[in-house]
Amino acid sequence: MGYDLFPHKSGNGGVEPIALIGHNVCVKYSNDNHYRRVIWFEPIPPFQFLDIGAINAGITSNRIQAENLQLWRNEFAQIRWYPLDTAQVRLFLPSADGRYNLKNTQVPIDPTIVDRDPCLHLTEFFVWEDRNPAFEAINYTAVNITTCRLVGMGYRYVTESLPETDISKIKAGTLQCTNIVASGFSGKP
Amino acid sequence: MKVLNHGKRRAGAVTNLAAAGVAAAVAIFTRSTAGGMVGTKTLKIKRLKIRNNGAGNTWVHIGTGTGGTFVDAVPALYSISNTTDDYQEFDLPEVELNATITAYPEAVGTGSFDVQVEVDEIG
Repeated sequence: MGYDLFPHKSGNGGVEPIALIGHNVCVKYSNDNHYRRVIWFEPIPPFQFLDIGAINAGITSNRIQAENLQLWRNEFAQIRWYPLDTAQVRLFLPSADGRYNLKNTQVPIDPTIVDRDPCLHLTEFFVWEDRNPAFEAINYTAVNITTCRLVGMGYRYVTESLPETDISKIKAGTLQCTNIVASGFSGKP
Repeated sequence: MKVLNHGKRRAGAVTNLAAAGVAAAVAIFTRSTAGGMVGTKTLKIKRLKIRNNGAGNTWVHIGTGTGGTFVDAVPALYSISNTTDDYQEFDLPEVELNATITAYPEAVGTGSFDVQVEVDEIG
């Protein structure tokens, strides 16, 4: 059984949910695989989830925890985001683990992302329970900025655990499951 | 989806500038800062109307703050007595302000100014 829902999907300009009620997911966080079934979900409309604050010209801010993106137990979120102000912003999830990584560069996101990737699908990340991301911004301009606001949107999912029999079927490839990466890569889970 | 980083277009009230000088700068658009509001708002001036009510030919300053804290957002605008000026989006630099917008004329003579600003409130 397959679904036409998957991570980082480029839809018609919007964010599609990664799973619906009754779908199985495997939330990968660090070295753990959390096999879950979605029992409820709701959209999270665009909102400012973090203001890193004032940053002087050419300066990199401290790494700031985005605690507004924390969830309750057994929940995960699918978030796409963009910065409103002139800064290159790096994502860390968890705080010590840089995301969008290449061998020599951690790729930042700046305000041009809304033109270069209008549906923001390449910014998408997932949050497991209260393991919120952190952000660090470089004011690349020659003028001080007074705010560094990040806007996010997506979906919040409530899940329940799966019985061992279903997990075995998922591992055997006979039961549908959508894999969701909610942290940086730290070895094969 | 380019509108993702645009704001909500809003107009300020018609505000009378009855006194001259930076110490008399008056708020012409108040930035939203309501308690409990999620996020921080900033302002970009998109349109500006200035009516000179017989105040003589003089400069009108648009910026933030008042007195010693006043900072021009755009160069001062020259106003001719008994005329109305209309500056539209393409006349105005995309200056983004994170404070209430204020204005003052350098002189008022025996008249005054009426000013109205339209902004993009972002965030």
